[in-house]
Amino acid sequence: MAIAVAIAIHNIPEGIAIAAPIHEATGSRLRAIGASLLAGLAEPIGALAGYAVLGPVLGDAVFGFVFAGVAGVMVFISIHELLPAAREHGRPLLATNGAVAGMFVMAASLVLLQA
Amino acid sequence: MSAVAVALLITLLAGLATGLGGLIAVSGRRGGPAFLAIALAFSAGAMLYVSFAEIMPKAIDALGSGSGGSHGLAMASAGFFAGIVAVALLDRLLVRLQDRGRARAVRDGGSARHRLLRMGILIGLVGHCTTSPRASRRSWC
Repeated sequence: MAIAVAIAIHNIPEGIAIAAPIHEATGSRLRAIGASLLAGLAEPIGALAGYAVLGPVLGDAVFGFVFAGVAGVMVFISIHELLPAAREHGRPLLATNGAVAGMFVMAASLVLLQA
Repeated sequence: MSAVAVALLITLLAGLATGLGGLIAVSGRRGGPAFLAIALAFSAGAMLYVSFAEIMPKAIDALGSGSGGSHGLAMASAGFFAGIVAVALLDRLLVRLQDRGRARAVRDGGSARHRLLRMGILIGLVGHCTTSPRASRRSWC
């Protein structure tokens, strides 16, 4: 149950992050939901494919580099795309508060998951 | 149920939760600029936090295990910047493809609308490798 809650906390904001900009840019609800659902369903498929391809070579080294790379990717996207776009569409304070709220919710979900 | 089946079921649930987020984002009228600003910034905050507080420590731990822990930080840092370079190139590619599609000059990384589309695509591409805490050490996507 705790895992289900943690997953929801992690993935729902992600769905919003995918759908909100696409909805705003295209005006199409269907496309926005479709994109988030597609990204969501890519997950189990990606898990299978990743396991099939990387399974044999999946040592700590590969795992560590992939994780570190993913961290870099996310930091880049946050700084280069998400935060500038947030400031373009709302008052700077709104963007800052939103970012802090995101950190807080993520921190809370990590703590909950650890318990 | 076998462990693999459970893992698959969990990732499937996670995928559906992502779709639910999408549903929430478009329910009601268009959220408008304020909602969009908060949603985008919220995601940025969540991603920055989880990157530094959760994912990097895991990477450092995994990369250090072979060397008694001494090289983990250096190698994880190398991987971190490699990830940045890779996604920066992907970002440029997307900008270029959009330029070509629109056949007009795009200054400063594209118009706001283009930026939104590009961002959705980028997040969609990499987003699923990003929600690490539920992932076991053997599955990251």
